[in-house]
Order: sequence, then C-alpha cells, then structure tokens
Amino acid sequence: MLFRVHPASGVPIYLQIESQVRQAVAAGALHHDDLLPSVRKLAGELRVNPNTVARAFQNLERDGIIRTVPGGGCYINRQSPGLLHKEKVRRLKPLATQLAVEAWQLRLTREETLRLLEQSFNELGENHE
Amino acid sequence: MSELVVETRSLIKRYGKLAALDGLTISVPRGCVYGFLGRNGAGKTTAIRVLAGLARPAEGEARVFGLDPERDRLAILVRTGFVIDKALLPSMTGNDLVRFNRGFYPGWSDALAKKYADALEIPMNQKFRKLSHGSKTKLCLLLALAQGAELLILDEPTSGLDPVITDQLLRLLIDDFASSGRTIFLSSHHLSEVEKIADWVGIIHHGCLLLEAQLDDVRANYCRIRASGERLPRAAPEIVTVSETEGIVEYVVRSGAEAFTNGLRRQGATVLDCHPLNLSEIFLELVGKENHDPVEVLA
Amino acid sequence: MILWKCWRDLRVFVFVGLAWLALLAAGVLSHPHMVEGSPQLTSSGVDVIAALMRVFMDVQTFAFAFLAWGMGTRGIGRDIGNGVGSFLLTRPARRTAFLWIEWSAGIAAIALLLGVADLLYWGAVHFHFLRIVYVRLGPDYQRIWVDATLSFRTAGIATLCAFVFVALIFSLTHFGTVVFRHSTRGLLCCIGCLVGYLLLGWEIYLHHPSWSPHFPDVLFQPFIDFPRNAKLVPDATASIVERLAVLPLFPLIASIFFQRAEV
Repeated sequence: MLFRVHPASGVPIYLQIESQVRQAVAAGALHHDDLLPSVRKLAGELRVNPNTVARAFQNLERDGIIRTVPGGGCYINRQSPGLLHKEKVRRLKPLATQLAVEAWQLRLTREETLRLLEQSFNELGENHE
Repeated sequence: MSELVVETRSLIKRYGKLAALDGLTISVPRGCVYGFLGRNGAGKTTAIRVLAGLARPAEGEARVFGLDPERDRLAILVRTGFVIDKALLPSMTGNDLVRFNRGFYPGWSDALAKKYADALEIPMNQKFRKLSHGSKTKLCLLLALAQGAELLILDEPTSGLDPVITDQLLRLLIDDFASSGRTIFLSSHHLSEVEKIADWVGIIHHGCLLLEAQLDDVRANYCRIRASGERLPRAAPEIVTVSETEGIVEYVVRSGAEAFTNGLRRQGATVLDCHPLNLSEIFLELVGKENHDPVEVLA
Repeated sequence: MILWKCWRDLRVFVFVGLAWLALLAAGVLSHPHMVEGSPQLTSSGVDVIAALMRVFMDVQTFAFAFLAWGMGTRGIGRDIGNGVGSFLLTRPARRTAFLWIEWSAGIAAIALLLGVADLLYWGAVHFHFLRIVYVRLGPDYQRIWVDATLSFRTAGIATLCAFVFVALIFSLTHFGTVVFRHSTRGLLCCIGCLVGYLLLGWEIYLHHPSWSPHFPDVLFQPFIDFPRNAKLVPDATASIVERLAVLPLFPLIASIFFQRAEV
C-alpha cells in the first residue's frame, strides 16, 4: 500500500495520512479519479484506529483534495493548478521558516542565506544534467 | 458530545489504609478505543474490577451503559466482554470452554470463535492448565471477542503475547470492533500498541487521573523544546517539566509550543529544537514527575 | 451451562460411587449364603440378612460420606480460590445461581447414588435371597422377615436417614469451601464442625445427662433394635423432616456471604 504510518513518531496519525495523500497528489503519484481504500480497510491494514483514518479523510474532503461518493469510496478530485501550486507552497513553507530561523539564530545574513540556497539549486541542477 | 459508555466519578477504593483508587473520574465515549495507562499498582486493575462488579467502591460512582455495576450487574455483563485474570477452568479444553461460555450469550457466534482460534493460533483441544501462558491469554480473549459484546474491557490483553500474535490481535480488534462502532477499553503497559489503536487515552497514577484526552490532541500538543540563553523561564502553566544540563534547558510543554518558542526567541534565547513527543515519552514525563497537576482534560 | 459444569465437576464421584456399588453387589451376591443349594443356609439365614443390612447401611452412610466430602470441595469456592473467580463472576448469571445449582446438583447426585444402593439392596433381598429362604425355610420365615425387616418401606427409611447424613456432610463441606475459597479448608471446616458437635454432645452427656435425649445425633437411627425389628422410634418422621429442612440452610447462609463478597 501507498501509506506507512509511524505511531511512535509523536506526529498525529491523521496528519501523517493526510500529509501522505497530499504529497502523492502534488507529486502526481495519485491522479484525478483514483480510488482510495475504504476507511475500514486502511485502518485494518495500518493497524490504526478507524476514527483516525476517518478524520484524515474528512480533512482532505474539507480541503477539496478528495470527494466521497455515497455508497462507497473516496476519489481524488481534479486538482486545479492553482490548488496544486498552493499545496506545494504549503509543503515548503515550514522548511523555509526553519531555514530562516536557523540562519537568524546562527547570525547568518539574509544575503548569505540566499546565496546558500542558490548554491543548493546549482548543485541540484548539476546532478540532474 | 457523544454518549458515555463508561463513566466514573470520584471513585475511591481502599484496601486497608491504602487507597487503590483515590477520586478517579474517567469518561469513555461510545465507539472509541480508550487506552487506560498507568504503572503497576496505579489502580488500573482495581478500576476494572469495580466496573465488573467484583469490587465495591468506598465512595463515588461508576456507570457502564448508564447502569450501576452493583445493582444492574447482569444487564451490563451480557453486553460486555471482560478479560481480567487470565485464568479459566483448568480441566476444560478450549472447545469445552466455548461450549460453557456459549450458553450465557445470545449474541455468541461459533463462526467467530473458530475464526479467532485460527487467527490467534490457539490449541483448542488441550486442557487449559496445560496451555502456555500466551495461549491462556489468547483463549481468554477469544471468549470475550466471540461473545458479540458492545463493549470490551480488557486488562493488559497483550501481556505474554509474541509480536506476531499481538499484531493479529490488533487487526482483529480494529476490523471487528473498532470499525463497527463498538467500544474498547483496554489497560496496557505496551504503549506502542496503545499508540496505534487508541483514540482516547487516560493516564492513571496513584489512583487518580493525570491526563485524559484524545490521543491526537496529546500528540499535537506535547512537545520537547531545547533552548539556551540567559534568564530562561522556569515555570509557566504550559510547562510540564524543566531540566538543565550544561547550559541547555530542556522543556516539556503540554500546549502552545509555537507561542512558547516565539516567546523564548523574543527574550533572546536560542531555540535548538522542538519535537513532538510520542506517547511513551509523554507517559514517562508525566508519571516520572512528582509534582503535577492532578487532572488534565484537553478535549 | 452451569449445570453442565457441575456435572463435569461431580461425574468422577458418581462413577466411583456406582462402581463401588457394583463391586459390593457382586461381592455380596457371590457370598456362599446367597447361593442356591448352599449347605449353610439354615435358620441362621436371619443372621445373614442382618449382616447384609449392616453392610449396605454402612456403605450408604460412611463410604458415601467420603464421596460427599469430595463433592463438597468442588464448585465456585474452589474456582475462586484458583483465580477463576473473575471469569466466572463476569458471566451474566447471578452469583447465587452458581451456589444453588452446585448444591442442588450435589444433592441430586447423592440421592441418585443412595437410590441405586437402596434398589440394589431391595433387589438382592427380594429377588434373590428371599427366594432361596422361601424354598429352604418355608413361608413363615418369609412372612416374618418381609413384614418386619425387609420391606421396601424399611429399606426406604433407612436409606433416607443415610441420605440426610451424607447430604449434611456434603452441604457442610460445600459451605466451608465457598466461605474459605479453598477445598482443603472447606473439608477441615466440615470435619471440625462434626468433631465439635460430637464433643458438645459428649459434654452434655457427661455434665447435663437430662438434656442428652434432646440433643440430636448427627446420624439419626430411625429404628428401635434394628435389624431384628423395624419398629420406628417415636417422632421419627418429625426428626427426619427437621433434618431435611436444615440442609438448605447451608447454601442459604453461604449465599448471604457470597452475594456481596469481593473477588
């Protein structure tokens, strides 16, 4: 199955599931109209409480990532490019905050930090050639 | 607020001078999996015995399905599956015990009994006294699971079980119970298992409740923060513990971690890291501590 | 369910009791005096019958008393002592149901065994021995013995008194086992009570002899000069009924302890 949860990590399980669905959608691993496993099935496979899985699905539905069809199944919604973009930004924001905070604490200037970021992009670009 | 299937209010139970339960108040909502956690001797088994009508409290009240375990015992027992001591009639085999137990419960299912016997690998033709400790536990669980109960009250159900069987048991509990809106109340030391399947937790210490909340809220709210700096705060309502080693102060906070870290930064402190805690860590922090606020309800 | 469990607990005693009776019957029926054409068969046939009665009475009372001890140590008291209390008492059944069903099952088992013993005795005498006596000693002997000693009524009353005694042993042991939650202590409770009662009777006999006739014996003897004749003592019926009435007091008092007890 696509999902793996780590109950001992301290991160709420519903957040872990939500996060994995969002990431899969943003990265294109889950497509429009793909069917997610039922709450009951997923809970059994992961050995986690069905209420937790249900909560994750409810949050995803509230945010428009999935829709529930009465009579069975949760399907991935067509993601508008705007929504997809918003999701990607949302994922990166905490990392950006962390970078900023660490840099500030270590007394690195804004320019030095941005240069560090550029360097990383360049290295990434080299590896992908 | 969903209906409460198990409730106690200021339950006090004494054995001689020792108060095994000292004002215990718990609330178990219908349809949840409630992990009842505590150290040895904290009062978990005593509380369960009171709910089963095996022990009588000195003060306070207990209700199961809204009924009094002393006055309406039979009405509670027909709807509830209990596993307390892992001891059954020594000269009976598993099949004999199924035959004995079946007659008490209109909702009993032989098909389920067979399914659980296979899933949990229980030798059903051996006399109970000849079974290994693990098999004895499994058989006790089988009798409770096949009963068709609305509520399961299990005292340390995974003690003595190997990891494979524990995993099978959790799967059965989720598939057959948690998914159909039935309630499970289980006491355990095995925090990693409780962490997987529980949605509510109650931590009991010295006979009263330290914490009762939804597990996801507890996970989201409890954090460990390490910081260094001058004149760092030593007390605040959200701080559970504070300790200092070699200039680094470590806080465990029960809520508002982000606001707290921002506060520290505003004071000029360096926040080194901030991680969420898992249930084992929270348990050790709360129960290893001597000074604490007695009751914590987050939900 | 509970009754089935009681059967499983008691069946070994029932089988041992029946086997014992079968052996005894075989032993008695192969006695030389019981064999047709035996040269010893004379008017001393009367003594043989007396001996036969004695043997059966002893079997009924004392041998079955041992079985009753054993049966009384089974049941909910012992189960709680073995740690099974939290299983049994979380079944949806009244606590007192366990107690009363066990007690009743034990009484029924004792009644069964004594009933079989009674029928065996009566069968041995009427269909076997009496036929031989009649043939050798003539109708007068039959009339005397059937009317006086060997009737169904006489055997029945003797068996009833034996039943009361054995049932008392059982009830006392069962009571002790429930109260102390332990087989051996239950057994010792019964023995202790009997010994104490006998000592009390002895004390009264020594120091207050006028009270003695009013002090009930543990084992009630219904006949005057048994087995030479089968005349009943005065108030025999009342005595037997009183003793029967005492029996259910044991589970009743035990249920008072048990109902609110902690497990």
